[in-house]
Amino acid sequence: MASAPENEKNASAPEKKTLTLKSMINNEEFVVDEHVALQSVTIKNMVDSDCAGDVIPVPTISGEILALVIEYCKNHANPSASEDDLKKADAGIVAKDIYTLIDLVLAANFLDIKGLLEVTSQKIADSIKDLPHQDVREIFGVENDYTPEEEAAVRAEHDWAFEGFP
Amino acid sequence: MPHHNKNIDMFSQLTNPIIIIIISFLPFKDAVKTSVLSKRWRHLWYGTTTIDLDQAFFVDPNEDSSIRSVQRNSFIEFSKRLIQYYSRPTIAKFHLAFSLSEPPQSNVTDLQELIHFAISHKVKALDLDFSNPTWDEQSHTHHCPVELYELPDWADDDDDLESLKLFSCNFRVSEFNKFGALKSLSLGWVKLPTSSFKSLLLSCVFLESLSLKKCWDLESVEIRSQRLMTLVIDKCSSLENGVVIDVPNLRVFKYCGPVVYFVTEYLNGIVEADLDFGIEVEFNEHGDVLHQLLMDVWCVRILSVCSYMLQVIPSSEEYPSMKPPLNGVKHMILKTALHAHEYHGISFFLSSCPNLETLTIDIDPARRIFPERGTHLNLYEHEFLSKYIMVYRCVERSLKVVEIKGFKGAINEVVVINYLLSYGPALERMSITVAKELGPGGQHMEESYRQQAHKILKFRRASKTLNIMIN
Repeated sequence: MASAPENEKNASAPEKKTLTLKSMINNEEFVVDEHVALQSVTIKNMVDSDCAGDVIPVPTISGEILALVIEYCKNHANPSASEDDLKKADAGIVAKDIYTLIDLVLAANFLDIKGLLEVTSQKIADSIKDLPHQDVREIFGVENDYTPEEEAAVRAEHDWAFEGFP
Repeated sequence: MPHHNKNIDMFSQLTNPIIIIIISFLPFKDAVKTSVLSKRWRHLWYGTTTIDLDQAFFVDPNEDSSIRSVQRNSFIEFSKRLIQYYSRPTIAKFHLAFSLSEPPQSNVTDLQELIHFAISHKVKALDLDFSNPTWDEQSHTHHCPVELYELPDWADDDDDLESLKLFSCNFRVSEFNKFGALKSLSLGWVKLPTSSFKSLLLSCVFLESLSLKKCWDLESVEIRSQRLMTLVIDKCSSLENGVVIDVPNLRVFKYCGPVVYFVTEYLNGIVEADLDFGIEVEFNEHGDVLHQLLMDVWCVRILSVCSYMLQVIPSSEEYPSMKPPLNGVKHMILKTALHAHEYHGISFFLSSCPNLETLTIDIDPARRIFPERGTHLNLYEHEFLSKYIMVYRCVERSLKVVEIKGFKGAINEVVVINYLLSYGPALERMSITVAKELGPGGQHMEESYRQQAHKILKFRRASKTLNIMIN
């Protein structure tokens, strides 16, 4: 293909490489520019060490979540986006229900995308901070294994933090 | 979300390191509260990278001093326990607020230990506040009656520290040579002689944000920088030799203090300016100085001005409006008493901001009104009070949102609101927040203010789509 004549006038511009990411949960495939996908340190390491084939399988991340991740990476790979633009775009991506956000934080952690991990964690923290403990337990699938006495003792240990909290 | 995988699988992936990342984004107090969720969560918060040790969590200012002293001790005990059990190699934010001017004069070595802990954990944002919350910010005296805390020296160069805030904390300027990554600096309640400030700026070449609050012995602020984007000068009342700013990339400029000599150049990138001279106790014909300052920030989008500005600007030669106008201003904030003596100033800004979209009127009757102002301007023909109507371009065309805070329904407030309602066809939203303060006899007035606000709903409006909200 190096000899293809139509490439001549674009000779100075390197050809855009793409990667295909495939969700192993529902087999959805996404074709992404390489520089967009490389914002994931995990993918970058695979590419750098030549472990990446034509299709990169992404375990445990659904297509729905992968689409969000790619949207984030596209926004942040755009050199002309201003800080304000990115902030707005990020806010849009994390305007989701809490369970989607937890899926997203797991995806950001697995793919090692620091910025996405941070905005998603911040959003989760903002949404749980004023909730009653029982609601937070449900969100994180936590079973309260304290006896009532133990729970009271833990509260008493840091009573200053629980002041005015039911 | 019926199809959603809120299932065991998802929860099993929520490992402790991920939970700790989420906990780190909670306010510190809420992070501590997660200890009660389950046994597994009990100590996870010890990994939060946002540490906020504030004596206000422990100390009740209304208690007498012996109880406060016990509370301060438990605060120190808690802090020491935290650094003993802390489970992470790094800290993102470390805030320590402990007033030194109260007994017990806690062991300085305890504080030293806390600070060393933060530094040795490569803290990115360090915030040390040893001031006393009861100190009077408005007072003109420059001296705090206590010894200031002495910041310990850093052992090595520190390329992690990006943001540093020191309140009521002495430091050695030479230390700043060690901070290779410092972008944001905030100093307050500290003696800062002009010469120290100058050498400080020479050491901090990467600063993007600088805030000076209640710094004394500082006679002038002279800044030339390509990087600085935010500059705040708050109640530094010894600035006799003025403020010189040559900062082409400055985006936010906030000044609160007496009127001083300002020299500003090339503020072409400025987005937000807050000019507050509310601290002035005397009326002066400073109109031209203030006008010049407004000219310097002419391209702002968000402009906040004070009651003093509103009373004094009519004494400028350029009155009644800016030439060229402040075309960029979209949002204007008036810190006002809405006293009749401010009306000419308000008109000046309405007429000078032809593209204004949002007007915030922050009413506080305690703002200082100067009876001597306005000798040459009378109110009989002012548009708020008379039938000689002058409608400004912004009111006629662009003004969409009016926010009124601290509404009490006094006549001087009502005439301004009436004017905006009668002549503002583009208005979409007006929000009226009633004053919360008690009446002169200590009685609750909120309900009666609210009733006054409801009368506004019946006023004639030029806009057909206006929505008025009363809070």
